[in-house]
Amino acid sequence: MKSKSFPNVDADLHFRVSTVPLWLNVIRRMCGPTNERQPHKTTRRLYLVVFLCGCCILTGCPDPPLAPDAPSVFVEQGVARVSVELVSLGKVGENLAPSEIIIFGPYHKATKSITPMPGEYRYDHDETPSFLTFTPHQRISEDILYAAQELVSGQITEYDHSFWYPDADTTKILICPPDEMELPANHLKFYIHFSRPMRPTESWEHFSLKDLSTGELVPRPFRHIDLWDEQNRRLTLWFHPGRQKTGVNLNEDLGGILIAGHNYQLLIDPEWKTQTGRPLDLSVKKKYAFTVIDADHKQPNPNKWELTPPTADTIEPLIISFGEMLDFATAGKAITTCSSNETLIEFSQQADWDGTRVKIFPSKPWAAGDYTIALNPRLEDLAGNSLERPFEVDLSAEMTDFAQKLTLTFEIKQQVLRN
Amino acid sequence: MICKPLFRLPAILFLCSTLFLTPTSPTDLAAETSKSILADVQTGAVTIKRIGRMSFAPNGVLLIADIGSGAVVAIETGDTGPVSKLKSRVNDVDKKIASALEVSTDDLSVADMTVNPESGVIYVSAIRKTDNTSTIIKFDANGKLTILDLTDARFVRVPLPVGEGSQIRAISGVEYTDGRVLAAGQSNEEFSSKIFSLPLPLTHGKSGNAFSTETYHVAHGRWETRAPIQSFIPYREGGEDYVVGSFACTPIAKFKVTDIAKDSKIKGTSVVELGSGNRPIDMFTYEKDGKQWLITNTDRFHHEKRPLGPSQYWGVRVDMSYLSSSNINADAARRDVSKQTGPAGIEVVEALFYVRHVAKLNNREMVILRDNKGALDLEVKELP
Repeated sequence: MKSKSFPNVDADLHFRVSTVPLWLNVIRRMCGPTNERQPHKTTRRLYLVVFLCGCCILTGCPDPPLAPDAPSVFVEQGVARVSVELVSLGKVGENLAPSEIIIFGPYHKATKSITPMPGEYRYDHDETPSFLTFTPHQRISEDILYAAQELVSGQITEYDHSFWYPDADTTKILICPPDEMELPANHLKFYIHFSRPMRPTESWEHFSLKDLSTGELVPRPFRHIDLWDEQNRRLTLWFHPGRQKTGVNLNEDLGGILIAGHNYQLLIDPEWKTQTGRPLDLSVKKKYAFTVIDADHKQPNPNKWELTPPTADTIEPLIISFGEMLDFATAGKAITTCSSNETLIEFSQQADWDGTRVKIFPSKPWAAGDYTIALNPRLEDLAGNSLERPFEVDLSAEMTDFAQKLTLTFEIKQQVLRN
Repeated sequence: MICKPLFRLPAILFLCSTLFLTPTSPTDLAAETSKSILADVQTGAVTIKRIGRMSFAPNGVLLIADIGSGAVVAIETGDTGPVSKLKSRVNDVDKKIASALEVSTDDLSVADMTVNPESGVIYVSAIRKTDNTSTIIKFDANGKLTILDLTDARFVRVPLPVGEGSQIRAISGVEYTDGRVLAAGQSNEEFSSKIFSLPLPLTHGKSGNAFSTETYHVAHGRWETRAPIQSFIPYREGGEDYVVGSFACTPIAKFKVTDIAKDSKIKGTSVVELGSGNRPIDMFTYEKDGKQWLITNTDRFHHEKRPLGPSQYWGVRVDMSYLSSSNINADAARRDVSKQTGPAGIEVVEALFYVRHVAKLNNREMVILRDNKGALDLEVKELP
């Protein structure tokens, strides 16, 4: 599948057709308004137009100015192929090395930074190439957001395999935490990802929650607030915190939303339309289900996390396994800095869809040595307990310092060469 | 025009003196006087990604929450008076707006309504769902509708600062108070909510001097949690500036504006309970017979289960002296949910049933946007 069509002759034809009105306008202006008292002027202008047209036919029309195309990403059986049309880059592109024209790799969307993957560059023709293609050495992972960037004008093409594959007609939905999980009774929110921008108003009206243990719909479970990302493609759907908080009036009057031991379905209105009026993927009818377990009032504990160090001289990710599902969005911002010998390392990070792991990708191959990573105190679990503080603090309790450990260390060993 | 030489000199002198003596147009005047509120004012098209709440600052400056980009936009409307309030009720406002925007009412979302107290002109923010276009519609004294031209405006845009973590997205309110603009909002990721203090003048593209404070709520004096502010107003009492606001899960609370300081946290304590399941939408204060009152309209969360009146939308006025009370949290004044009035100084306002938005015109009148069997009406009503 591909994220964007390769350039083709249609584009050129489209340009020529679209410039026809422009040329007609030029001719009309040159001829000017008919002036019967000065017919010779009109005749002279007509001769000029015919002359210019002749020149165009003989010499060819001047090349139209071209805007560089965004790179195309094509993936087949995990092998990515990225290409960019060189002609549209103009003369700037002629003097650049391939790696200065296009890069591809894991994409950190918040900072719009790409961690380039090593790979092979190829031109389609040795003498007068039209396309530059790049094929990374490694297969791409289906659960990582990638992007290609054309570096001349900076255009970025995103590629998210697990999300976009493969149907182009309907709008895909991906929910975090994923389907069929166990969620705590004080679970706070879902991230609903859409493959296309949605209409971002009164979004809560398109959701309902069914208690499968009773067969009843849960009344008014969601907070009435539209919390979308900038592209209107990710909705943060909140359970009403007034019902999930201890001692708050709604919680006391109506009780919590979820009951431990019950099974639930989150239902999405299949009639909901995208911004452009496209329907949602009908598989939404599969009914996102989850089981509720006891409420979670414990903060995430970094002492229990498992670190899988990468191999030296590679750009393999450092993998941190949390041992529990954390909040997907903050898990993707789990690390604030990574350093070795007090030198900061450039990196990007990507959380797994289920929030159980985060992968740290360096911008350059790891060197052997000792590393320290600083943790984001706002990293929180599904119930809003963060490294900084529990979701609910009991002011009557003696404990006042809730801050968890905010640094972790790991070592990358030098590779032993074998003869 | 034919003008003999003999008459040219006096004519030129007359024109010059006329130009010299003609008072500055309201627009120029507004531009001049709003200098202290806005700086580095931009001219041209103002892009609002997704429009939300609105309010007026002095000199016809309209403050807008752009919830699509987490920014406050301020527009010099040039609408500085004189006051000419809406003469009679305007029916089917939503249909009229939808027609002006060339969509059906199903494809229209009304975000907020406010009134410019300097002119009486009513402003409605709306989103055309079909293309997600944000629009501001004005209604003059005759109920005539015009669309505010956002393609040729004088404006500043101030992005709310991004701290550690994610940017604040849902701006639940933006209000002017002496010396600053306040904005409250919630993150679309971690469970946090902040109130921002933006110093004047609001400077285009600059949020460096803004600072924010996280807002918390304490239930029963025991359980402390982060809590989003749902709506708020600035309020001055005894020479001190306060914010009177409501949290999403708790009614009315009060704290000092000076509490909004860098790296501090605000604990909102309930001073008035309206009864559970009520989500205050708009708030304002007014003075009558030497007494300060707070008006708020709310959307009742579980109207169907426990109806309070004929509509989920209802409103109340509260004697502001309750907000100075030392009885807080569990001891806070509680509206008697079994009666229309009580305890003394907390009264259900009949005129606010069915009201989706309310704004203060002056100390005697308010403008209401009311749900009338599915359609929306605009009307000026007397304050109780």
